[in-house]
Amino acid sequence: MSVDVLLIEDEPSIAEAVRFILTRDGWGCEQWPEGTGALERIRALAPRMLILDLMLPGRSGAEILADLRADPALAALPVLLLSARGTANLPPGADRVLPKPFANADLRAVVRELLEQA
Amino acid sequence: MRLRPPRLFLGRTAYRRRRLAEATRLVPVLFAALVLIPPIWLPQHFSYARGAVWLAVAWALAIAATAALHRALGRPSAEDEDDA
Amino acid sequence: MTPESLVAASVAYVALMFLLAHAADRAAAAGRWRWMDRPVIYTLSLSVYCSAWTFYGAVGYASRSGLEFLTIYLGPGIVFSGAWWGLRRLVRVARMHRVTSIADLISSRFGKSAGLAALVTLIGVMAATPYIALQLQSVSMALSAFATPEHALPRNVSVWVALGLAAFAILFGTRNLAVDERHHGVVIAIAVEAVVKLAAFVAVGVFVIWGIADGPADVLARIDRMSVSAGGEGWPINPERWFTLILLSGAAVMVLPRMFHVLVVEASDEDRLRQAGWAFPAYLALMSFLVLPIAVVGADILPKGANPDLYVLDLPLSQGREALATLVFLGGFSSAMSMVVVSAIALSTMMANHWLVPLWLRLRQAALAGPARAPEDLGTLMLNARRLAILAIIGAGWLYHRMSGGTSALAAMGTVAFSGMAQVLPALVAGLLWRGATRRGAIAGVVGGTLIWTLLVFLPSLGLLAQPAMPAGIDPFAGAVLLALAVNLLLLVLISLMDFPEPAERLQSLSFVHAVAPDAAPGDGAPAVQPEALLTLAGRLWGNDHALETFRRAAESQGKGGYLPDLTPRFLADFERLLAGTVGAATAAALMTRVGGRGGVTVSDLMEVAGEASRAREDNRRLENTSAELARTAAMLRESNEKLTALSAQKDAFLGQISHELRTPMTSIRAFSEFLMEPDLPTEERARFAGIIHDEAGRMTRLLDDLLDLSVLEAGKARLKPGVFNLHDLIERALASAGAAASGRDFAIRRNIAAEHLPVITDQDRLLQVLINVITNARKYCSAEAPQIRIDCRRSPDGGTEIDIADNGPGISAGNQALIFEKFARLNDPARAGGAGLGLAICKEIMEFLGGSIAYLPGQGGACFRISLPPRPRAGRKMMKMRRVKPFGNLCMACCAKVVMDSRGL
Repeated sequence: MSVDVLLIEDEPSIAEAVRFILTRDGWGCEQWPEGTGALERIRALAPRMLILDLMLPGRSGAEILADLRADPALAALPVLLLSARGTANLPPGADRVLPKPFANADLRAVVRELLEQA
Repeated sequence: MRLRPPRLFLGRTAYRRRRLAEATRLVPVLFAALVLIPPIWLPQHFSYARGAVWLAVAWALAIAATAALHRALGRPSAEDEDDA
Repeated sequence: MTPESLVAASVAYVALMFLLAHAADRAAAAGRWRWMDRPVIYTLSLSVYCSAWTFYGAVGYASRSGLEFLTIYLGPGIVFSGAWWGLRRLVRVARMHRVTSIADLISSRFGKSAGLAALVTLIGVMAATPYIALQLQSVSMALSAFATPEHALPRNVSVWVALGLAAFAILFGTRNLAVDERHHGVVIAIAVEAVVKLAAFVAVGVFVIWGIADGPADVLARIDRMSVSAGGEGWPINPERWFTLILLSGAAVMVLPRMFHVLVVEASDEDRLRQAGWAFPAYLALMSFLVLPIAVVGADILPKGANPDLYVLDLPLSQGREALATLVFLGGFSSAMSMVVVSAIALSTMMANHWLVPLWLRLRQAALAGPARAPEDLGTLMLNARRLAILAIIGAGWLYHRMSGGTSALAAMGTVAFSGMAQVLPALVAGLLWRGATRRGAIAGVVGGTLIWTLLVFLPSLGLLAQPAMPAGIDPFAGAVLLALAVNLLLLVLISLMDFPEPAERLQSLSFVHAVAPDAAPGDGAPAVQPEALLTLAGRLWGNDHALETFRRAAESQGKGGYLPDLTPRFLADFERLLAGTVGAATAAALMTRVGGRGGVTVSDLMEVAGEASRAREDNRRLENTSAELARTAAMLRESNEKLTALSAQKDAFLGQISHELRTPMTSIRAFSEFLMEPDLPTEERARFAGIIHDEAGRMTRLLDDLLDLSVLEAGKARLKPGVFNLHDLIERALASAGAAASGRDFAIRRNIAAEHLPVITDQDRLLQVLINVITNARKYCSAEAPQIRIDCRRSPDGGTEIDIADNGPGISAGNQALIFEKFARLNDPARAGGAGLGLAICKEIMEFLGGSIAYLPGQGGACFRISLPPRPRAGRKMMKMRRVKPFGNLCMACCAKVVMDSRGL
């Protein structure tokens, strides 16, 4: 099964919720729980899109995003940013942003939109 | 290093203390002279009872002088620290 | 009186001294030393100069050579009559540099030269061995005076004497590695023995003058009769010996290791020389003028074959005065005991500091540089080195005594020792008076003089070489000694004049000659060393508590809190001198270089110092004080400013973090509750999701509890519920609940259960909260392979309780140590902590609330927290609180508002 979405999120319960939502919609979903090694994971799995949490142990979501955009092979990868710090001062480069807590319906809509673009 | 400037003039107490401290330097010199010169110069006169009395008296004087001077000096005051 | 009962009396006497020394040590440890720290004790302790040589040998000496024996006491008499300008300077300079021995003083003055220190130690040991042998010999000789055919002398007396004295020296001389190398117990014991010596000698003197002879006039008449008697051929004064011996004894009172030790090292200040300056010569005069009647009366009335060294015992014995003889024996035993014990302590310090430790440092290059992973107890190593040295010294003395067979006259052994140590005199005097004296000059002088002394005095005294041939009419001993001293002085002066000393040496010479406190070597403006590394080193030498206290004081004097002072040049110089007080200047300098990477001083640095000095001379004292005050204020301001800047940066981060902490569980709750609203969800999923919602709701509650807790504590509104509890139970409970909370890894818990059973008066729930928090933190952040947690409990001197909780993880970097107790601080990754970084802030508030404190102890090989409880919770806290700023209540409101507003946007 191909990987449609790679979720980078350290909170196990949130990760479980997101997986549950996406799997029911029929998307293939993988999770990575920390900032370190996230880029390597992205390269290895080559997902169609990325759901990225901002506050991560190791490297922050903002750093990963910056690296991603600087890499020609990955610059076009659609990214949905999850932010638990409101919507102010967000790093540039994300395609969509959802502030936590989010409605399940919003998440499904955004993911579908991004995957159809891709 | 903190080398303080030597003061040019001192108050009465400090002045007296300076002179007393100088007097203490004189005691060992005088005492050494009393103890060394007579026995070396005239050993035959100072080898027995006379020598014993001479040395005892000289030493008693030196001890008394030291005691008196040290008592007069009292505890060192802050003013007198650069007496060395 | 049989030898057996005398031995029993001596054993009882030694036991008494043990008790006395022990009591004095305990009193000093409990801070009650002050009443014993009197000039009279100091004066009496100086009487260690009067060893058994004085007690027995001086009488023998006097009956053989007349007044010449007085030279041994006249020299010190002259030196002490000039105490105010000579000895006072010596004591002041030595204390300023925290000198531990004569070898250390010479080495410190001449550029902290390790070679010079080792050399002086060698001379000290060579000179002391016959001297200690002499003490052992005199004790067994004195015992033999009591022996009769039916009561033979117990065998191997000297072995037991040597062993007993070594035990005494080890017990009281190497009890701990003091920073100032003072031994209160030993000093008190010597002072008491000084009184016993004097009393015994006065008693026998009075008995002889008025009991046997007919008063002083009769004694003087008997002295005059010596000029015609057969035993008086040695009496006429020999001028060159007269001069030489006075010179030697004057030197000896300063440079003999044991004299230097009591005169300089044990002195708490130089002012007590005001009393000692006349009282010690008076003691000597009294002792020495009592020698004469004993000698002449003994020669008159005792049989011709009697040993003059034993007149002092034989006179009362011949008159049937057994009690007096016993007192005299104890007096002689006292003088032997104090001499051997103090010599052993002084020499063992020299041998350990200048021989063994440098050797060890050379062998273990890397041992000190690394962090304290497995802390090596340097202090114990040093103490063991000293114990070994004590055994070696006393053992050597005993061996010498056995080999020499106890034949030679006591006085000769003493003068050999004096003339050996006197080779240090030129270096000492030149070092204190002449800035131009250099290390190479001193080494050349000491080596040259010692070589001549060894060849012309020392080896002939052992019978290994023939007496040197001197030009006719010159006494061989006086000639050899004067030759050695002259060569010594000449080499010192000539080589110093041609030399150009190293900068470090020039700094030291300035400081010694002008008696000014040495400032920091200027070369180390930006040291690479961490304060923590120095603290670790100090802890290994002095023990943790002492090291921490020293560092805390230093930080306080700089206007800083905590345990880590800034590494100012002044602090580094002070620290090096403190180290020198324990291990000697040369080793301290080597240690600082090793641990701190302190570089050497260059000539241009010196020129800079000179410039600064001349500028400083223009400033007056008030300006100096003001600027020190300003500097301290500036340091305080700088610290609080740094703290504020760091805090304000962290406040923004914290607002985000509070938001994150609240939103994260909220996100899960929202997502899973939406799932629950779907009708077709399987039952088991439904139950699981409800469980997740429940857990996340609990997490939010905990965070809110923490915030509330903190604001209640901060506002001073918390209620204290004190009770009496067993600390052990509290720790058990804390460990159980922290163990339940943390996951996974197995921690080794090292505790001393017996020490934990301490009753504490405190609020049990609050203390428990702190313990759990600290232990949980240790479990969370300790990343060691074999993680362990160490818990130490003890009563502090003020009656409070101290609990140290340490792990063996990476610890907390120096920069962060000031921040960890602040609210909003979290050093590690937010996710790993699982809290909002409020835990330690709450702990700190609680401990203040309980009247105690919590502090981070640096340099313990991991993170270590010390929780201190007062004897009972203190009142009056409210007042303290009033003055404090309370930003937190407002901040909580701000956080909540922000979270609510952001959420509303959805």
